[in-house]
Amino acid sequence: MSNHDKEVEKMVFVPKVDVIEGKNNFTLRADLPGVVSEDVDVNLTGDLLTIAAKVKEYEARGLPMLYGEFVTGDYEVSFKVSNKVDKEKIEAELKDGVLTLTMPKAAEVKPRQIKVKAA
Amino acid sequence: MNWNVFDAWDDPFGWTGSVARRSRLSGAGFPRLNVHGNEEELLVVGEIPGLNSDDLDITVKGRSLTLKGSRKIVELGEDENYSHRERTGGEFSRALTLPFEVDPDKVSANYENGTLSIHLPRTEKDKPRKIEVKVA
Repeated sequence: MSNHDKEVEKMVFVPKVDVIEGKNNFTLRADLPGVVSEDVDVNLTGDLLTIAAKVKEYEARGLPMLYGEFVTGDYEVSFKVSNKVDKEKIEAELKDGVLTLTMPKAAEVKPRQIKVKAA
Repeated sequence: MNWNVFDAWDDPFGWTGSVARRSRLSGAGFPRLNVHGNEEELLVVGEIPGLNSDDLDITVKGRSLTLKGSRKIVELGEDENYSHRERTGGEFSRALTLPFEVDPDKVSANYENGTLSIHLPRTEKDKPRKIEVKVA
């Protein structure tokens, strides 16, 4: 339900995303302001990972809008996950409107130290 | 070494999102703010995902509201690199001139799910008063 002046068609936005590569993991962070964890859906179908989130509109106390710089809306983004990620072990967490996906690297791309045995 | 985790990052058409990149009204700073209100109170709302509320200063004086803070984007560890980067962080400051004086003692702020809401009641002395006309 909208508290705002007019009920307009709900927008769907592509969230801003960072991807960080670490030694053992890839970490993806997506800005999803106004979203609670129950309303985020992270779905992996084959190689395609989709983040879909419903925004919880803020409580405007029934006050009309005097000035506006942003509109609220839902979020959706999809991307292909490469074989460098161990798809079975992707974990997701949402805090303060930021979604964090931790994607461990698949064993074959993890750097491996090969011990040299003294002969 | 710099290879991408997602095949999609290499290919500008790899994104399957059918919707436009989030577009906002231009010209505004960070955070973007919405102001709601009537003659007695105002509500200023901003989207600041990932804010540590200790890093936020809200100052109210007469008809001016100032928000200062810093949004920390996670610092990279030793073995970490960005493969894709769109989120921006750092210090921000926004000042608004309010339509009336607000009572600094009654201002309250709430940060939830990445959204900041500041409630600002008008000062009593500044409130519009109705003057009743007596019928003689």
